[in-house]
Amino acid sequence: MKREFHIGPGAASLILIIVILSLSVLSVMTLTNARGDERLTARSATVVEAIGNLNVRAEKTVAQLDEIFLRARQESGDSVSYIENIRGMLPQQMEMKENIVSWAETDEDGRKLCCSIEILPMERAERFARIEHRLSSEFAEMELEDIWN
Amino acid sequence: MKKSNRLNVLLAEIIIATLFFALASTVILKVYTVTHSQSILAEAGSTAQTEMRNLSEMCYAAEDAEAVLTEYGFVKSEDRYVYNSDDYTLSAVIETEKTAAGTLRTILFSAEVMGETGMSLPSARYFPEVTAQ
Repeated sequence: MKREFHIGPGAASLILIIVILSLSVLSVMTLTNARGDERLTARSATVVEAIGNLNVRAEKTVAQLDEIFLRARQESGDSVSYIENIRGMLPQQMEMKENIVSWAETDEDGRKLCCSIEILPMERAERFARIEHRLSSEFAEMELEDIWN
Repeated sequence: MKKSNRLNVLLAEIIIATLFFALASTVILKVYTVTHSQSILAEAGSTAQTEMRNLSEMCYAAEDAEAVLTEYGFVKSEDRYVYNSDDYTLSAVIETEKTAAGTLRTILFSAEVMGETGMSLPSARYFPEVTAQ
């Protein structure tokens, strides 16, 4: 016995609704994904620019420090007075331990670029050596417990 | 007679469904087109950004930044170096400032993605002048 297959009224509409719904959901998902990519790119560009600005500021500070070192060399007779002269000329926000000068460049988003340079002895032709150039954020410095709580 | 009526109703439904599908697919296609262009823009922006970061590092490491840019494919145009790709244009402006103890070189990279100025990346390096003791 052979059974005939009939498409009843409403079947085409049902299939249409399913197809349109599927296509709509997929298109919205793709759109959301693309917008997310675009936002991520824009955010990444902002972060990269902010870090670039911090690096530029750090280099400008190194240039200022080098001027101080050069002036201190011209005014000092020995290594002890050289270091003392530098200590006296350093801007307030800088820290000096032995012959290491440290400072941090910060921005309004909580990024911090920690920099340190070593003051080389007067006998050397070079005046300083970069020893630290580390980027950190407030988030990275928080304790894990603070984050979870 | 009854079978004929049923066929007519089915035909009318299929015609209405086809018309509605055409209408709906027009809207959905439009959404896909917008999505595609957004996706291409995001990809081009991301690539341009990566290139700028690479160039910034390469220039920082090199003493002659102009040589690095020229080797990469940048062309000097007035006060800036320009690199044209299919999807984006990179430009670099090099400035040098003489200080009392050395030279500060600043490079400002900027990218134009699909005709829109999107991002910039400043880069600097200080070259101390070594004095003989």
